[in-house]
Amino acid sequence: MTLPAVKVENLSYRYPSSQAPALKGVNLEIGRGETVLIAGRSGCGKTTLARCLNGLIPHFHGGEISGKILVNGANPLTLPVWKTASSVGMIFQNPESQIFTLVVEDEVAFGPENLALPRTEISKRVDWAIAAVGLSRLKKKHVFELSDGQKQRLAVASALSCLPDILIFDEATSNLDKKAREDFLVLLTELKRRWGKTIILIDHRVSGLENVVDRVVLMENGSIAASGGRSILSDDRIVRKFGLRGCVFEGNPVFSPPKSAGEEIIEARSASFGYAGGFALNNVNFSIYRGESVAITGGNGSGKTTLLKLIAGLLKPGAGSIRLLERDTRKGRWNELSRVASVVLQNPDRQIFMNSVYEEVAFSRRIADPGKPSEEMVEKILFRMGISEIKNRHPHSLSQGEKQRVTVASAIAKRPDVLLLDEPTSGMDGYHLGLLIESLAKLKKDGLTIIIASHDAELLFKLCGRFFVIENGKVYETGGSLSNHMKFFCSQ
Amino acid sequence: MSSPRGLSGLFRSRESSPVRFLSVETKMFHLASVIILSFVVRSAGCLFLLFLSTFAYSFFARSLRAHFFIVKRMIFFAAVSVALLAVVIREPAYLAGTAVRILARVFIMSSAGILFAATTSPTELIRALDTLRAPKTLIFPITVAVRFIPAIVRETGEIADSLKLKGISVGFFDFLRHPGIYYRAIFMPLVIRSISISDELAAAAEARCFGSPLKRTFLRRNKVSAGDFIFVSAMTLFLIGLIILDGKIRGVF
Repeated sequence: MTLPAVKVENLSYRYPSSQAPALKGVNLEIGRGETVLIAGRSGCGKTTLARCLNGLIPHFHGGEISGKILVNGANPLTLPVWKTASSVGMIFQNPESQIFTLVVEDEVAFGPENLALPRTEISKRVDWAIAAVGLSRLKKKHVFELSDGQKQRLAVASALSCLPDILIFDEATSNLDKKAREDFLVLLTELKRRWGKTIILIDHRVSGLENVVDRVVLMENGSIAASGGRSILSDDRIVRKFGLRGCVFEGNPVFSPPKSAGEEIIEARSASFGYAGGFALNNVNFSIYRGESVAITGGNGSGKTTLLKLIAGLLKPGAGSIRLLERDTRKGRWNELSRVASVVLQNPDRQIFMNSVYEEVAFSRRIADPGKPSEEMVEKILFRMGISEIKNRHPHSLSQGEKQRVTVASAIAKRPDVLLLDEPTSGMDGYHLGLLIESLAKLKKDGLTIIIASHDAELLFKLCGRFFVIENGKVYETGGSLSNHMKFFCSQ
Repeated sequence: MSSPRGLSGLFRSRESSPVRFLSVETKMFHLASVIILSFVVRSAGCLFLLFLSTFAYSFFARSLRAHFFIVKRMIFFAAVSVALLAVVIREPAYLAGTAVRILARVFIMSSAGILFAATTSPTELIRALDTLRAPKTLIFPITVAVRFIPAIVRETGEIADSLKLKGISVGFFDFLRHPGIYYRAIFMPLVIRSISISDELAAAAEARCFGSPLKRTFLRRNKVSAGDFIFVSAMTLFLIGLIILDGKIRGVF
């Protein structure tokens, strides 16, 4: 009888810094050559389980572990990580945090070099792995010149060069746009069909996976709550219960014409901006009026964040102008511009620094209007954003979804005329997305002008009435039809 | 996902510069000798000469942009440390001498460090340390640290941007006016992100067999060229000259 690729029996685990267990009595078996999706809400234990399979838990993270694991017939709990790593490749969420070298072929050679293989063998494996992920023509390329999709392929090649039988993808597509994600899913199918790899996908974004996976395992509170064939990804009840995203959402945007009779909040006239590396936004023209909700979308690296920074005045246009409530952003002072436009950046960890959620929001209020009493307003904002119950907690102890709502609360505490959000749902599960949309919808109803840079269809279609698309350095308004631009959208 | 442009700019400096002809061993020699000398040399004039040499190297390495980005911030925190020293040291002449030395050394060391990080890939460094028979327990943290520098440069920039967007100006005088707020607003996110990034990097390295006790092999080897001998010889002469000059100024020789 063939040994299963993975066999887990009654696995329980607790992180060293935590009282509560992250995994509770997990039992799982994955056959050779199978593609299995392990899904569930953020914090349900899916990444922890993956790290147990490749030995990072307990060898790297420490903690208390009990139960049995067999991966390829070996026990990762007793084997050193490097031995397990040669049979279990792991691809992490952020490709840049996995890159150690500057040239593509050097990066792919990193694993085999660590395994002390002869130079000829390393060279052979490098060529094979690079070809397997379709990067052969980029072999000598500088790694930081690759697109996000190519970087993630490079991460796969780097894992493949150690010749693992099992590949674990931990939210490996969360930063990719629709096109890059689709290409990536084709690559997964190839890895399974052509090379017979056992593939374990850890994700809560299930869009497109219904054609890739053989089986779905659903986790909740550190345990396996359900499992079944790929068809369960189309079950609306399951999708909602486990905070999954992707297959069920089939919404369409409701377009609104520009409120040109209203007050003009942002005016871009022939604005251009270029980076030293060659990327540029050219001749940008648009007007945004008070109370509008505007989407800015486009592929990875198209310039969405750059455009938001130009609107906020953080970057200055090289030619033309952007006016924010009549203030030219090239001449405006930080404190003036930031009172008009509040920006929520993608990663909340970079923006929060006070000791409690309440203080974080109150601090923003004080910066905007020093000396004015703020208690009542802060309480109101906390209630509006649905974070009153966690107001005394340290912001860094919260989940990513909760942190994102704290940063939105801080941003609106300044009572800005316009709220700018940069990829606010990156890596967010369906449950937290629902809460964020609910909060933003209330702000929209209050008449706040909202601009969102994202390619998350669900978020944009539910909130926005006007759609700007960035392609090849140009900004277009889609004007009532998105059919030509659907390639940019995905349900994250 | 936020743009990696700053990071790529930092690394690209080596691609088209004369420094690409230097081996990592030579760069390590430069880094170590400059750091040691910044402590040995005590006269302001010689410290200035040492600073000029790192500046010139940075110019030839075409990494001035990365150089200024880091050094500006390092000088900022050195200046804050001097301001804190002023609370303890009441003698103006002694304080001025101490302040000049602190600023010069911080400048020289951070310049040399960023030059090394901007022109050396972690793989090259591993090869060099392996050639020098450094123990694995030393190679791992040094390699992760070198890989960590550009990531943390980018984080610092992003955190500074987020402060500006909150309406908090990030400048020296702003810091002097509200030191508590700035330490919290910059250091809290920076510490949280540093822990997270270093954890990710180390886990990724482990997952690619970096912890293997086997004697590492290499797809390519670092090459030592004539340029290395010329650079090391010139650098050695300069350093000896600097020590002699410093001794003469201080009346030791």
